[in-house]
Amino acid sequence: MSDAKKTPDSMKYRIPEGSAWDGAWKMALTVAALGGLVALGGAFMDPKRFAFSYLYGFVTVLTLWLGSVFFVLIQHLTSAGWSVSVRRASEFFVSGVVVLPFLFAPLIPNFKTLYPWWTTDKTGVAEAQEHAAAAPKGEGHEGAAVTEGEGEHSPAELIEEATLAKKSAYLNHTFFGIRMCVYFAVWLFLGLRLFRYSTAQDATRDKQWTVKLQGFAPVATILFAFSLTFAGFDWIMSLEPGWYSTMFGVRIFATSAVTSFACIILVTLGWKRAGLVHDEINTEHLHDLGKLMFGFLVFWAYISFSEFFLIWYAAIPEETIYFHRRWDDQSWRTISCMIVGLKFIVPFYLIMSRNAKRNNGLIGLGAGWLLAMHLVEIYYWIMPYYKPHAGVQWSGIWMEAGCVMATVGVYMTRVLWNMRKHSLIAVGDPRLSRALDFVNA
Amino acid sequence: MSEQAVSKRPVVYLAEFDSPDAIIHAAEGVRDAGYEKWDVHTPYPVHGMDAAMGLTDSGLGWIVLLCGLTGVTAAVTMIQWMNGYDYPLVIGGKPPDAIPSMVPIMFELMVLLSAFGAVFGMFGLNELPKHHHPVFYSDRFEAFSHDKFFVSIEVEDKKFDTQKTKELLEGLHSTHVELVEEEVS
Repeated sequence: MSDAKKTPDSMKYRIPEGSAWDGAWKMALTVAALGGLVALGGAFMDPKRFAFSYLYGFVTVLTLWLGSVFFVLIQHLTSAGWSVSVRRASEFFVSGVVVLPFLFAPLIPNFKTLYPWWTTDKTGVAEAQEHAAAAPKGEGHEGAAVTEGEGEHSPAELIEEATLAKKSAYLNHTFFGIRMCVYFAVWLFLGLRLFRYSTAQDATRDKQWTVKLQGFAPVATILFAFSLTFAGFDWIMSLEPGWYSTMFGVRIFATSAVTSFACIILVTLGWKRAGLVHDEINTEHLHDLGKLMFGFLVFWAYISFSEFFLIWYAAIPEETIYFHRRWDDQSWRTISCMIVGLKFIVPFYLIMSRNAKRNNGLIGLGAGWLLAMHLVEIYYWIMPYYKPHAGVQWSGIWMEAGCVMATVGVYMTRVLWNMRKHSLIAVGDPRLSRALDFVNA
Repeated sequence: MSEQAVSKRPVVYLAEFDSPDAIIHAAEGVRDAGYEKWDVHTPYPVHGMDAAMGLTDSGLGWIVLLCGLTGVTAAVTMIQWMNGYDYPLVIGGKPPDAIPSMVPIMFELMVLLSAFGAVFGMFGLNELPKHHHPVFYSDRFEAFSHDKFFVSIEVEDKKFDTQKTKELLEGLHSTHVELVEEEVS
């Protein structure tokens, strides 16, 4: 076959007007509107719960977006040929970046509810800092805070206060705000560039876009890794400001990667089912996406367990508190066990076999399963801070459902809207024929 | 060397091809003719060969799974017996039979036995080590590691017939068909 014959034109993979995929954005918008109403109701009924529920919704979307960026970046970094035909699916998710700052906005007035350090840093922390500075060298900060603390504070609170004093150079309003702006600037830059360069190539088939993207990828990867890790510290870890963990950024990354592979698999299966793409995305591509999803699932389990294991073994109170919050109460313990059993063990066996990854139904089931469990995992990250020591608050779970519907709905509206505007396959990429010929040896 | 005449018996047909496309076509032909004891020899992996040869999934995955599960079970049993029951030791204030402390051993033993299963299972399924094979009697066969592609069909195959097999191979556009013989002492 000649190359010209193998390179399909840019209008071949467009969503036809009036088809189900053409109207899908309306469905996403409806879900968003319904969720938004529920969330708004929640915000009036229980503002505190709304703050945590909304953060839960936002983090769900953010991890999905981060994972998609990771996939696209890795393809450019390695100049991957096999993935060209499925890369656009992920690029659509990347293109949803424009809604992230808007989705984040409702969190800004809620910082004081969400983050315990937000209110203490003016009084308690500054005081403790003074004491720490005044203490003679050799004597620990904690000692200074404990001896000088007020009588009504328990030792645990004093330790936490001393920890916050140490962290106050990082966790303070100004720096937090600056970092927030930097993250969104970096993410908009990354997301729009990755999407626009790739779609610009559809019509022109100019090789220079591929060259540019490959030149951009190493820098972008570094920016991506740092912004992900620090945003995780800021918005998720600082819910528990006294806690230390060097593994948390990696955990966010791992779970994001698994989620985005699940999304790419589900979207491409959906396109195939609707007849929008045929053999361009075939069993070989789904097999490889399945391998990546499986690999990152194992990686996620590995680093999550390592994090838990070291904290469990060392048994230092300011580290174990994270797991105590999720274990002491029976309902949170059930959720912890669910994550081990249903997010790791069940899907591990489900998608382990080569045959499962090459079976559209099974790999689709695995991807859907992992997405559902992703919602549970983010719940486990965020919601224990709504009512510490009180167990899962099942009765108000509609508020979390509303917030997830609102945030994911808005994001998916944007993603599905972009799908209508562009080719579903990166037809301009010079390596497309390599992806079409690709076979797992 | 003995001056006596040695008798020879045919062991394998060796057909030579010039290109990967030709070898794929040939493999499909031999597969469709219903042969079982045959093989393909190429200088590098040829994409699509598994399907062309009609190879089904290897059972190696099941061997590895079984070995991995054996490793996990062995680790759990071993630690529970040794640390939890036979000689309980409290280390770092943890219960002697705590599950988290077993996980690294479970993981390591699973990986170790899975790797053994993968390597030795692969040897077993490939009938390795095999120090000699009659195809090496052919002088032309050395080119298989250079630029030629070969199909070999063994005499032991049920469908083997000196005349018919030769016709089949020639019909698949082989550039050279050779009946390799083995000396019988």
